[in-house]
Amino acid sequence: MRHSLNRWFAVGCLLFLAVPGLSMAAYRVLKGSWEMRSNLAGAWAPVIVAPPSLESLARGEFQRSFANWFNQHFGLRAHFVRMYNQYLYTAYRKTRMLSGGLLIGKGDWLYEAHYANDYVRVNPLLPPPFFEEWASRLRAASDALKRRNQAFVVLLSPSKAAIYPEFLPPDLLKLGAKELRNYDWFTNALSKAGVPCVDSHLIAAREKARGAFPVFARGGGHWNGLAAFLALSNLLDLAQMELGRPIAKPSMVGVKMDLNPVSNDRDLASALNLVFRPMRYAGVHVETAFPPPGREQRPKLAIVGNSFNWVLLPLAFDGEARVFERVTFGYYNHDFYDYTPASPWNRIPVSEWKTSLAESDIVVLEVNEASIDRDQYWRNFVADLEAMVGGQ
Amino acid sequence: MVFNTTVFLFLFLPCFLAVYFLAGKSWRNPLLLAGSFVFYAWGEPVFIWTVLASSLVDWLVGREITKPGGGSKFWLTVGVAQNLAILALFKYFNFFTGQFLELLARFGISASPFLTIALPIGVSFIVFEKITYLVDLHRKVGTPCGRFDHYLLYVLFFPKLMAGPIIKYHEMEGQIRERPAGWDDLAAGLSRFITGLAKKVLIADTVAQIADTVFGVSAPSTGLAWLGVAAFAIQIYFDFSGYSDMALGLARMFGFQLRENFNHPYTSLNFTEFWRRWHISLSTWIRDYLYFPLGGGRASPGRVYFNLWICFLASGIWHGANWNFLAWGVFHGCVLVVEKAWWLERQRGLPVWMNNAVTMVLILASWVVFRSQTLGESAAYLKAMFTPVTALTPSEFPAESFLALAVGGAMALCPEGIWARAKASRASAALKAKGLDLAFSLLLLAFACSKLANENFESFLYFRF
Repeated sequence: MRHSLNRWFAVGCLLFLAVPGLSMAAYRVLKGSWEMRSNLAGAWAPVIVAPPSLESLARGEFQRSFANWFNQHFGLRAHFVRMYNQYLYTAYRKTRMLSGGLLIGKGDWLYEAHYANDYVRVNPLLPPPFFEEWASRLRAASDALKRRNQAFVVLLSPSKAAIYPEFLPPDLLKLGAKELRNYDWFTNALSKAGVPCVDSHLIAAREKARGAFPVFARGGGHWNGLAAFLALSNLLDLAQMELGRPIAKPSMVGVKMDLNPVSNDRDLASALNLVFRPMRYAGVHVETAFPPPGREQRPKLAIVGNSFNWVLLPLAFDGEARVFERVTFGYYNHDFYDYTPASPWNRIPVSEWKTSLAESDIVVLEVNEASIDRDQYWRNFVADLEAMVGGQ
Repeated sequence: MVFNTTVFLFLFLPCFLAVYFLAGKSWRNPLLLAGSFVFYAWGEPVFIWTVLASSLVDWLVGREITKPGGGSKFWLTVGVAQNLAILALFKYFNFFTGQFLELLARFGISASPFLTIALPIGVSFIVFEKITYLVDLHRKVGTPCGRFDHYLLYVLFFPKLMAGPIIKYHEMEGQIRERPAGWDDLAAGLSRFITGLAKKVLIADTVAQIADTVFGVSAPSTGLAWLGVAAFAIQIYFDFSGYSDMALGLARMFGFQLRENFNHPYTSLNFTEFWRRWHISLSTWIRDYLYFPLGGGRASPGRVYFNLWICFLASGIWHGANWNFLAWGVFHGCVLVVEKAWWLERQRGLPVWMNNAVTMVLILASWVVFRSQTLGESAAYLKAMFTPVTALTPSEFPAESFLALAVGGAMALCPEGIWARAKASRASAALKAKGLDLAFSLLLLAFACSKLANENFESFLYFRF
């Protein structure tokens, strides 16, 4: 019997070790590819295996790249990753995900470390002349675009850590909030320079103070639809003023809250990559009404920004109804899209983006309040605008 | 290739085991040799050819050593010299050229190294094993290997190739020719392998986070310094003994029973005992191939102390080519000499716990030297340990690392008697208990693999540019 027990144990271990490879082989036979689709949340750079040659074998390049590739694609990988994540989360309320950049705060509120570090005394402050210089350049760009009958607006998206600091991990809260952050210096400089600006931090903070609905989801890293809609509304008001002509705006007819967060409201919760995902928390859904199409010309929008726009832009559309005739989106001023909710990933070449930028009625630069120092893209975009407007 | 990687666990091992056990008995040695070649060539695609050529030289020299008519010592010298030359070139060349250039720099002459040689994995273990073959033949211990492929299998046998244990040829000879390989061996081997994997992945790699953080602090507080070195002591023990367990387990899967390499070293009452329990195959090698040829314990007391000290100096250098490893070896040599001269006698009247505590404090101090990058760092760290210092400490260590430290510490310091009783009770356990034991092993395997997969998963929320 002991012998039989040993045999079953050996078989069990060998099967366990063989299943990842066998599942890859099965996938290859059935789907024609060794690379099983991963359902782990998050983005990662795919590994390319170096072509096997005497040279790549001798230098170890093939072996290293193959090992890295195998780490990304072995069968049941997602289950293994989730299992250990569940252990860390359940036993210690910790996570390794997002390369250590995902924080679990009080009440299981999730934050990205960068935003939390901006709020407490960690991220470095930029020198004041920096803000003066860039506010001045933004004002000059705005004036130049105005002369071309283009409206220019800076949209500051809010930081979850700055709006909901009370749920930050206690260890971080102990460090204390910064008296003045880069955000404070930047908004001050923008205001002094007279740059058209929508400060969504203030909008979100006001809405939070009303106490009716949250403006960030517990398990989301970005503003929710409510905060984004309020920002869009303010943006359209300011753009209308800058353009000098009316824009048909959607109105908010209702806000629903349930325990079913969707889309970006669950991005951090998904990124935990747990076996039992903590998805039962407040999800806010905005109901909008679009005015019937009238004689107003719908403006064209070119917007440069980060992932906060993936929440904002869909709110400008409702089936056939839409605020903008065309939306082109420069994601980090690096990848460019001809955006509609139905096809948000419709890539366009840089040349087409530049044309749309020159022809758009409204140009928006969106920057997060916590990433003014970290993100280079917005400064690159200002340089692009300066090049576009030339001596104007 | 390393045992605790997904490529080894989920690709190489299951494929190789399947091929090995499905093949006929006469194919097993050739397959083992081929698999070992692939295993080592995967990580050392160039150096493997040096190993093959040197092994051929060993084998041919071995035949000459055992030929009647004298010349044994000459051929032994040739064989040992070519092995030591490999070690000198691949392990110590960079160190000596670096020291020479530093010396030139003191005289205002600046120069760059004309050649830098990469350190091949496992070179120290491979060379020491090959030397045992030649010396044992000269001493007429065992017989020369009749087949080159058998000798090659002995050298390249992948379970013990990278990090030991250091095995003598005559310990493996009979097993190469004939060995059992049934389900019981496979199960015992898998169980041992899983134990080793768990020790390495779940304990050693986890407490390493504490040790790395503390040793990275330029001026740790006293408490932090002790925490850091304790973590390192657990890390190095579970890393090395875990790897040895994996090696022995893998060997057992193929029917080989290799010598044990660790025996609860942190329960030692003195350094003499420590070196009978820590890296046993290395201390045995040093005893048999260095200490005894120098005269061993049969010379005058002064000469015996010198022999001992030299042996541990060599042990230090063997671990690595830098001054810290040398200092570590010198320290151990000095303590052993003091023990032999005085302390072993003196400590007889002291309680067991006190002897263990004194030994552990000295071992921890020696680990500081072993772990630090420079002698200056070691001195600063030791000062922090033994002189009360308050300083800023890192705000947080990973929570799971303290659990691993506690579990590792309890296992490492647990008296040997308790382990022996546990082992005996496992052996005689009822079937149900045995079944639960094996199920627990399977869970450990899953948990260790999940940690490995998790550590290899680095992601962002979205791509940023």
